[in-house]
Amino acid sequence: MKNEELFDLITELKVDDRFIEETISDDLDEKSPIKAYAGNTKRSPMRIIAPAAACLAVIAGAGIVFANVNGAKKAPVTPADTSASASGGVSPAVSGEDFIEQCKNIVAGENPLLAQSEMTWQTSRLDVDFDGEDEYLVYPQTDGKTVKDIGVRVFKKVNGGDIRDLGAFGKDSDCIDLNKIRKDERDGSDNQYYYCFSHDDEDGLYDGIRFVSYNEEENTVSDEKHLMRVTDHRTNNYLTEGSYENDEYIGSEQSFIVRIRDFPDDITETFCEFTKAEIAKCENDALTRNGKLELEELLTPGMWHSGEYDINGDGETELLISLFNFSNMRGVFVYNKNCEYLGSFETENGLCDPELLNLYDRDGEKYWYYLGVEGPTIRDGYRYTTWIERVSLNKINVENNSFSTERLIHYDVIWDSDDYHTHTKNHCVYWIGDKEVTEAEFRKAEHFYHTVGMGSHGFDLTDPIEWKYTMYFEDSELTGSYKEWSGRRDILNNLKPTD
Amino acid sequence: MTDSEIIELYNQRDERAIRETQTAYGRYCQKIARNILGDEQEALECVNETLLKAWENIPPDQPQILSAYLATLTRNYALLCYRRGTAEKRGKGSVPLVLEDFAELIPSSTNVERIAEHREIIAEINRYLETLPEVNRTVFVLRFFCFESIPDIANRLGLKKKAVSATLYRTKKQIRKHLDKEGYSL
Repeated sequence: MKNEELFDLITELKVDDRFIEETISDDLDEKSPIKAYAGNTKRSPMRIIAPAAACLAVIAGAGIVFANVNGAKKAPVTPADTSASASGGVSPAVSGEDFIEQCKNIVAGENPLLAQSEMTWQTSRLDVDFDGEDEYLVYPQTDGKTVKDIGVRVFKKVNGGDIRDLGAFGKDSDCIDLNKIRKDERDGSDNQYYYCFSHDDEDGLYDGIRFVSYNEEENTVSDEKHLMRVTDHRTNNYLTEGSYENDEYIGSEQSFIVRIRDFPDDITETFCEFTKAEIAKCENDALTRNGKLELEELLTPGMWHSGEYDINGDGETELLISLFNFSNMRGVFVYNKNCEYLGSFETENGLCDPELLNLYDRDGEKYWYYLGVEGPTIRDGYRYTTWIERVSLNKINVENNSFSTERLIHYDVIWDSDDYHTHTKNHCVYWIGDKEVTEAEFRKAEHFYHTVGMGSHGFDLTDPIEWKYTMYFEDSELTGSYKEWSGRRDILNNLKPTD
Repeated sequence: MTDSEIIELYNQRDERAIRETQTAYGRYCQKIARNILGDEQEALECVNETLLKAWENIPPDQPQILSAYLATLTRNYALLCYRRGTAEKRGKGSVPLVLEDFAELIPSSTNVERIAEHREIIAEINRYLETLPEVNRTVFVLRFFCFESIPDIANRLGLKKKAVSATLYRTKKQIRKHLDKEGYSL
């Protein structure tokens, strides 16, 4: 169509007056020109909210989709309830009393305040790692609610009686600690399984665990007993309805669901230059560089995530592998196509290490690279939740003490932004960088999306000896906290500029 | 002063109507004109013309929504000015970019000359707009009616530019698909 024709047509465009009024009404008020659809009118780059920070690490690290799940009003979950859970492994009556006592002692020893409060111990058994044997779940409760700061601790009995601490559901964050949990494939279906952790929104105490299965193809949750809203972060697909008004969660209960996802199967060589075998080789190498991992962590699907990007600008694609536990990012390791280790990003601060730095100096200037995420922040109930919308790689020019806003790599998940919570249909548009891509391409690239999980505001490199990198977290609109990460200036001074 | 009071002034041929209109809607009309013409002075002249048109047309016109009425007047006159403008002047403003966007909305095989009434397409678009979520509709109207730039829309709505682009893209795609479905692709 010619431009003239288009011009005619757009001139003829007679939008209904109601729509015009709806659109421009805010324009008529100088003081409030913004019509906020994003659910967060104060979003700033790299803004991560503290309660979600750990969640982000989970999202970023484990290939797990963390979603705010709004369950319909439901009765508090008791251990007895969970006895009928899909795993079939929970029993309110716990055998091995001695073992349980030991578990309790461990928990109590770590939390002296428990002794001073009125609380009861609850115990359950659940084969959380699907190895065929039940693990022991121990969780102190007050008023029938599990104490949030402790969550549900999971212990494994090994060697006939030794205790292995497998972590906790819900501890420190609203995410479930999935470090030790493996995907259940016992039923032979395509279902993916989730552990859902619900808590009372008002007092922040947890009230139970739910276990559901999710059929991705049919986009259904099979657990009839638990009407939870499941968000597939990738497809922005809410399976059941929620109840939010003005981004405020309405209701007294709130649940969270974590999706366990394996590395995508449909990655093709055309998109990813690294084969699965090469990725595996690099993962093994990354493993040797991190001595903190436990066996269970390694067995956890989704523990590894990788993405590909020509991070050093040499024209070759590098493989970035992330390895996480569920409260901290464990760095991003970078490999070339020969599976040679090039360096890594620091564990907690998102900065790359000097070993890798030299490779970055494309323009003759020294840079550190910062990996960050940003996403919308939604107030849901008493706290804030952040979803990742974008992963970015930003440059920090050490010498000029400047932070580049250039995003070398990023992609967005575009939400229907009038209300994040109430969409029931899939309206996702997939983007990688400035290019819109198909869902398939998106899925292939998605693993990179999960490689980072930190937010930041500002940094200070002015100190001649020591330099500081200040991480800024917020846990609400009103309060914030700072975490400083320091490094030695001489490390920077020893860096070599490159051509 | 309320819209109905302003309209009443028009009906009574009270020249305060123009002043009140300018106070209430001058800035906003100027924004639309500026988006299209890309020139502050021309935009101002366009607003003056809009006020004159309003004075001439009310009565008999009795707009239900004065803001929309004025916006339409402004837009039409600004587009007329744009069409009359020199080639150099046509490079200004958002029109070229918006046209590019608009082209993506219309099925590529659509031949306007073979469609008896442009209005059919427009009406169909309007009908479809009804079904869109408000934010999508708002982005659409800001872009194609008000000729606003993506950054301006993002700023106004508190969205990221990327989100606006995506929303716009999604909306265009949906409308195009809808027009296809309704037989406007020949």
